[in-house]
Amino acid sequence: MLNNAIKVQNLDKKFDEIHAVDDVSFEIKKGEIFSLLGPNGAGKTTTIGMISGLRTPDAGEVWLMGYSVQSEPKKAKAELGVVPQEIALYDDISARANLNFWGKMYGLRGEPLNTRVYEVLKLIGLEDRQKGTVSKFSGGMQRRLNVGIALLHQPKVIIMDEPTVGIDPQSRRQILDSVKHLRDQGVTILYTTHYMEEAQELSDRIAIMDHGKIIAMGTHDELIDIVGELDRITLTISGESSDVLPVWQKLEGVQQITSEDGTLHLLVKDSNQVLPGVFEAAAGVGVRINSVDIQEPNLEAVFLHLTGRALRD
Amino acid sequence: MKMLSIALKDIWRSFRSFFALAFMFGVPILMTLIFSFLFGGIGSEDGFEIPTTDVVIVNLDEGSPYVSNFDHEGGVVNSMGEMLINTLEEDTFKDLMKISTGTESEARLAVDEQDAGLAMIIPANFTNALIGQSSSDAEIEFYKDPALTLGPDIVKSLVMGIVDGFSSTTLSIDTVLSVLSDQGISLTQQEQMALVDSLTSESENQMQDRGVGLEVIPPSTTESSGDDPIKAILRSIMGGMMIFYAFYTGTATAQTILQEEENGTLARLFTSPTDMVTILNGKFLAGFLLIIVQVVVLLAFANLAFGVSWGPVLPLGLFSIALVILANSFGIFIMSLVKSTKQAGIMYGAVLTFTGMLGISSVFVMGSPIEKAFNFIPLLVPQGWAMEALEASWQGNLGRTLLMSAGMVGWAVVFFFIGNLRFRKRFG
Ligand SMILES: Nc1ncnc2c1ncn2[C@@H]1O[C@H](COP(=O)(O)OP(=O)(O)OP(=O)(O)O)[C@@H](O)[C@H]1O
Ligand SMILES: [Mg+2]
Repeated sequence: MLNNAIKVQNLDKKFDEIHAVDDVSFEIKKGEIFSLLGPNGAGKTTTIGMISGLRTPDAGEVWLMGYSVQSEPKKAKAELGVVPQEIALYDDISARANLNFWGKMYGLRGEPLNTRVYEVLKLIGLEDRQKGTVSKFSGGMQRRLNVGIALLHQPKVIIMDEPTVGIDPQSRRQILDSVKHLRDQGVTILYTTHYMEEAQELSDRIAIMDHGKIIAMGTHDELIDIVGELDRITLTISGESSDVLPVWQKLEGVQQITSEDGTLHLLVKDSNQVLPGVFEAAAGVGVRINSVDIQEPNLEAVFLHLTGRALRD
Repeated sequence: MKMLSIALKDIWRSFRSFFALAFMFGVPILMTLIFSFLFGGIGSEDGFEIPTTDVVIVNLDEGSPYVSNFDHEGGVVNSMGEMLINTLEEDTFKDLMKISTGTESEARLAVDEQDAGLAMIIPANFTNALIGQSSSDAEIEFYKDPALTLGPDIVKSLVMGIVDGFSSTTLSIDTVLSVLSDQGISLTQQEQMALVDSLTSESENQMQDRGVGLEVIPPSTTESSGDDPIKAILRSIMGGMMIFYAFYTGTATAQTILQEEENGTLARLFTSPTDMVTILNGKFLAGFLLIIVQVVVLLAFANLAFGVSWGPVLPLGLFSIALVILANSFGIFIMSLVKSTKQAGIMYGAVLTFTGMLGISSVFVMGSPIEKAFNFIPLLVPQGWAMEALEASWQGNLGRTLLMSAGMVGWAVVFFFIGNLRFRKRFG
């Protein structure tokens, strides 16, 4: 009995000079929520494109529920629901007409189609607006419909590519809840995002992706362990950072300092113990501290630790 | 089954789009009306009739010793005023105005009581002023029913035109007389009269030429005689417009492939368990069905609303099927040549409009001397073959309809072959 819903092996894709996906492999167990977390241009959408059969990989292979996407595309695609990153709807017809059409593309007809359209409308909270023309919908409503279409044929595997980009908190909540609802029904979900909070809230496992490569993969706690139990202090200063960096580096408990356009990130064992010394040392070299932000370890810190850059631009 | 769903979805979208509907039905019908009007709709019975205006003319013209008793159209008139009335009473203008004469007070009363649309009062010194023998200007007074505009205004401008003709004549009389007197020659009253007579009748001839310009010139179409010329014009124009805009519909429908590519729905379709070939065929089928609807509606509308007769059913059916196939594959072909909907815009302007106008140009040159010389040019473009086939079909010429329709299908096969191949390669 097969227990992988998705298996990705040595996927590779280049666009001219850009190595968009660089030897990516992972497996997603049935019923798992798996997040691909990475900044813009990391290669998430390209990876998903190859998994959903939209793009042909330069190398590597993908299996969905045991069917090879390359050699048995129809069978593989029938198991899969895809929520594209860009809203892909017919905005000149109604929400209901969209659902009806897409349902048919997944082989639903007649009464089963009607039932599913009704259930999905309820799930995405658009029952009241089902007859409304999509172009008149808010961005959040369009996003919800964009998600709903992928759920119509009750696929066992759903891929969601940044389904919550640029929407209001209410619609975002609705989408995150529908993801949890799907998980409760045993659906396997591959979720991409560059919001670490979402990855943290939803995922069983997370892969962090950057420059086409998976640079870390594991459960949330496993990933946090990479940076150890370190706190992160983010500071903005006025004055030369080169004056203060050498002094801070020598302080007891400071593990790593990175600097990015006037913002300094310090990874420290215990921020409460380190902070007084940080202020003192700054005053000693005439550097003024404008803001201080303390964070317990999180995925952002992991990304920073691994790449030296912040996750969000 | 999925193919049909895709096609029906596209058709549904078109029917919900104001622009799609306008270009399928509204614009061709509107263009037909406009062109028919420009080509000679005046006086037709088919909707763009200019109303006949009741005109009461009051002739106060006392004439002039110079123009007493000269011949005009076989009759004898005593004044320019009378000549003007005679001119207006000619057959040429009978659809435009109904003329009666009366006294000034009768005329004004008739207009006030809306028995007449226009009263026209020719002043006493009209003749003398025209031949330069009056100290003051002569002005024709128009008194019109304020509720009416079109009819009386047309009559008014017509009269002004005629009077212009008269006065250019009198200007030349003046010139001749002054040149002669400069050279020491003076004419007797008799001689002056003869001069005026010959010059005014010359002007009268020019008038005749002008009058012809206002006549409805029936186009020399090749169909059997006895047909209403206006309906024949309508048929030609409607036929041309139908062909032009069938190609438009084919192109616009094929363009939705590019649109769907750009807004991500095509990619989404490709992630569903639906073959690329099925998706493309569904899009092609949409164009096919839409053009069928368009052609049937336009043919029926022209028949019911304008009374256009399209000739025998068999050749018409043949032509229609060929048109649907051709217009659709043309659209697929030219859309397969462009990368984006932006470039598609250029295709509309450059290719679709240009070939379309060329193809149906026979409609616009019909009856003119260049028609013959122009004969072969439309056949350089597919729309021209369609126009020829349509003309053959309404003439009931089954053989020629078959020939031209076969030609159309030939174009279509080439278009579809290339277009389909390019799209498959693009998405394969
Ligand atoms: N069709 C394409 N042609 C050329 N380059 C491409 C194409 N698609 C993606 N790329 C490049 O490949 C890299 C990965 O892009 P991709 O869209 O997969 O990133 P992403 O992780 O989804 O980013 P985002 O969070 O912005 O959606 C980027 O550098 C992008 O510019
Ligand atoms: Mg992306």
